[in-house]
Amino acid sequence: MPELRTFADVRTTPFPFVSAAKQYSTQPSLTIGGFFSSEKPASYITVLLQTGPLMTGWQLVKSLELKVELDSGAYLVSDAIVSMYGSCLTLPDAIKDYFTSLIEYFELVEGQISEEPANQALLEYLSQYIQRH
Amino acid sequence: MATKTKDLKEKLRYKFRFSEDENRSSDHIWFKLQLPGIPVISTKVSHGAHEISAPLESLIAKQLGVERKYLLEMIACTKSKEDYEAWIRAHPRPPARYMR
Repeated sequence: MPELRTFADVRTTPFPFVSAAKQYSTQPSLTIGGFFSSEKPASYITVLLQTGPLMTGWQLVKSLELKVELDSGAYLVSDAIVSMYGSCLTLPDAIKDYFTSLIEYFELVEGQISEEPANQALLEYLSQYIQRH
Repeated sequence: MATKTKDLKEKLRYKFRFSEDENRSSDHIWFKLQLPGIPVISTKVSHGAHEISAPLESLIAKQLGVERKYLLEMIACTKSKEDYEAWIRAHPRPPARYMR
């Protein structure tokens, strides 16, 4: 599959993010949660990250809606729930960066529990979405 | 004018007293701020880019629990550490209603 560089490419390629996502073998499947309007140029699309294995040792236990946008030639993937983001020149690598960030954030919060008990509630909140397996 | 990555890192470290969380990926830094009684505030900043784009500014601002405009004021020194802490205490992230 050719690398997608602009949203014009996206418009002329059917379900590009599903195909692109399949290049990344260790992630849950993605489904299109939104698409471009013909009336108004879109600057981003949303995709649904479904539950399943995330990376080695981790799983997504609740679906997350991801926003995918092009930012100065790079893909920027983010969510509105955990407020995490990933960025890279290719979509599979941006998604991988997002996963890495999500896991690192979880580990960061986990490491803070001994310093501040209020982090336990945040960790439980995050555990609604990602868990070790 | 785009925010310089170096300026953001310096402001987080020296003005707002964020510390770096070690043992993470080599291509970015995690900054964290632990205030008493509230969950840790943290954000990820890339090592590579010299400047931060507007969409990225918005995402970093969100991780810090503020709007992009507020983040720019933090960098421009029109918001103090005390202003920021007061804002965070008044607007916890994530909102309490989402906590189990």
